Amino acid sequence: MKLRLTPFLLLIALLCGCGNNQNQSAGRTEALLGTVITVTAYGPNAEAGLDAAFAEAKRLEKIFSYTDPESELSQFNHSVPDDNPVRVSDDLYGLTVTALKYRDLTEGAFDPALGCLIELWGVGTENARIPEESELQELLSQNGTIEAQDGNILIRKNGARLHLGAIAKGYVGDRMKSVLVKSGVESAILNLGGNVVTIGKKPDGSDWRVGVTDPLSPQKALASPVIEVTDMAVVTSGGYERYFEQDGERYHHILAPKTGFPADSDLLSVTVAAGDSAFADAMSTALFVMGEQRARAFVESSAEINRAVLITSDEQIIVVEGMGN
Amino acid sequence: MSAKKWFSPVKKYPEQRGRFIAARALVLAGAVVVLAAVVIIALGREAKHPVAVIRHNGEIVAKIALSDTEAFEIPITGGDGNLTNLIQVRPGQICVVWADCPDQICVNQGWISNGPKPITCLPNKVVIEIIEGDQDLDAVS
Repeated sequence: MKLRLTPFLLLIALLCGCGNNQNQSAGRTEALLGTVITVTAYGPNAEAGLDAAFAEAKRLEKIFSYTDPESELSQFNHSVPDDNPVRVSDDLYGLTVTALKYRDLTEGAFDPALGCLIELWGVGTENARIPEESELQELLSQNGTIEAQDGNILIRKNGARLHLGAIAKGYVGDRMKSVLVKSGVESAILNLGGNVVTIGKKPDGSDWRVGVTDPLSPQKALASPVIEVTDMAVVTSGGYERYFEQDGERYHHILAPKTGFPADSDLLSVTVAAGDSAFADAMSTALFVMGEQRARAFVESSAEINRAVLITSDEQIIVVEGMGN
Repeated sequence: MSAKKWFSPVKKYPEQRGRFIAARALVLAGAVVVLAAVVIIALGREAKHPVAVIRHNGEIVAKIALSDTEAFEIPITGGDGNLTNLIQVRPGQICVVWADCPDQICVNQGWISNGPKPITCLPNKVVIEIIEGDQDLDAVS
């Protein structure tokens, strides 16, 4: 029987050709908002999309940075006197209103008015320390809060300081996504220090595969679950991300608003997958503070959360389905 | 060079013709399967995405999927805002390309692409570890 080599060679050539990346891609990384933002975008508009997205991130950093004294948020926090209506930009007003809505939704587990408390602990800075009981009590008894009024007005009540650290990265992720989509990008993945945002599907049509950090070995990703998403955000909060140690005890950065202490949670980390990145960011913090039982119930009845991964302190991995798609 | 000079088992043992044809077909099928397997494995290798985790002062500042995009750099700055380490990423690899530390251990380690030995800059408290994983991940949250 005759062996026809040509069709086989053509087949092999075809298979090898499929392996090549026919899609143009562009990647960029910059240090912004106290973290590192990496974006990989695909398609002919990728480069232009990246330019626009990072310009937007830099613009928002000047609004939301807690540590930059020139940022709009810092100027608001240090405006005098207290209890004074201050007119702010659309972005600052909009995100604060959203944050206050999430505070009510989570019954206070997420709270944007914790600036003074966060500064007192200083977790992640050189000044990290355990505050005196009296200092904490004094602060908590002030009942500081942020009020929003019509016309872009924000008011600091009782000495409160606005701190949007648990939602700002998520919001910037959403804004960068919006800008990329406007630029014509249909496939991209953004990572803002672990806050992952995806646009569409991967160029080959498959879902994006997002791993979950093992809270006990943060240099590793868990073998399972792998969260497969299209056009969604995946955000994780965990005590292992930022903490200091004193006398053999670990004090992490996710403070419980009611106690003023690092949340004494039975969870090591919470990962939330949802369409909105700011929402996922805020909820991952709130669910961590709530603890396993409350978090489960919250996710199961949520119309926005697609699913959440709860890792308990006795190392159980629990995947809870929400009602969001 | 006439084909007739080649040893032809079919011609020599005509009564076993069927067996020889079957044997040739089997060898050919086997070769195709092996070839296909090699191509598929080669393609699969391209899809692996190790993830680099960068810590500064004990805090995770970045998790980067080392996929096949253009090379880029990540600056790490100290409390005074000055650059202390410059990290470079290229397809599948990461390294510290510049640092202001006296011992330069982090720079001398060069490019890493897998987990066994993280890059550490003790004076500047920078650590780069690669997350091991058989699964191809596009990012780690």
